[in-house]
Amino acid sequence: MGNTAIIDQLKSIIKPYVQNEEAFDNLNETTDFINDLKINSANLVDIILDIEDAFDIRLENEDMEQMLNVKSAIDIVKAKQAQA
Amino acid sequence: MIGNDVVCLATANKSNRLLTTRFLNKVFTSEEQALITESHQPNTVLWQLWAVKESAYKLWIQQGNVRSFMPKHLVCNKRGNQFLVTIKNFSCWAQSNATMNYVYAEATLTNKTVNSECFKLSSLNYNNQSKAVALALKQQVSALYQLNFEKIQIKKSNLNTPHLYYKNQKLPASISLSHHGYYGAYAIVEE
Repeated sequence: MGNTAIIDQLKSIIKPYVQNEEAFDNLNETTDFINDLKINSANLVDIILDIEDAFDIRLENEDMEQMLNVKSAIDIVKAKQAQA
Repeated sequence: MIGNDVVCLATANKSNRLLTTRFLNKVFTSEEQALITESHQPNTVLWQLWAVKESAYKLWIQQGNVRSFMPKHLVCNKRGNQFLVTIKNFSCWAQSNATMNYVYAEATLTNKTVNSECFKLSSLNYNNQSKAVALALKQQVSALYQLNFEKIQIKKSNLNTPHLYYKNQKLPASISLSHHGYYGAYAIVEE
């Protein structure tokens, strides 16, 4: 799956939890979920579960640890899809 | 050093996955899950444990550790009214209280008295909430230490943690701020 397709799906997953619309509109690979999008860390769990469902993958603790920005999310999704 | 966290229950309980195995397994150890599922108020206990982990995590970051999302690694051991939270070879004590509306926790590495307050916010806008909590903290600092309110500043360090300054000099106190849903909270402790 190409990066653009993954980003589009990621955007629709995280949108309900974003508290900084401007950062969301300017979303790029360096965008940080908590620091830039002001997503509450409790909602990161919801996002991780949504990502698992959307991409049909399972994320372990080690995968979750890095899930702080868009680039890490893309990398983890691609790595998991490659394993499947 | 101090870390705190407030969770607005009305907002937090909107998620319909909270007590599912998938959600619980991502965040809580089996002992912590037992505390949740055996309680008469599992949602409240869940958010208390979450707030305790988040408070301890803020302390962990203040120690200079790299940011990471690993709630399950912040292991909480209930000891009477407090929690001992351990991650790798770091541990701290945390306290938490719950009302019908919110859950609040704070974690410290000191025995000194913590000055903290949890209050309802008038705006749901994120920026307004941040400012409201910062304002409340500055007003409290001004009252506690008889300082000119206008000269009190909150600055972020290079670790992105907040610090108190007065007339551009760092004050010998640690602070933590939190806001979520309809509630905000600050905590101050002397260093």
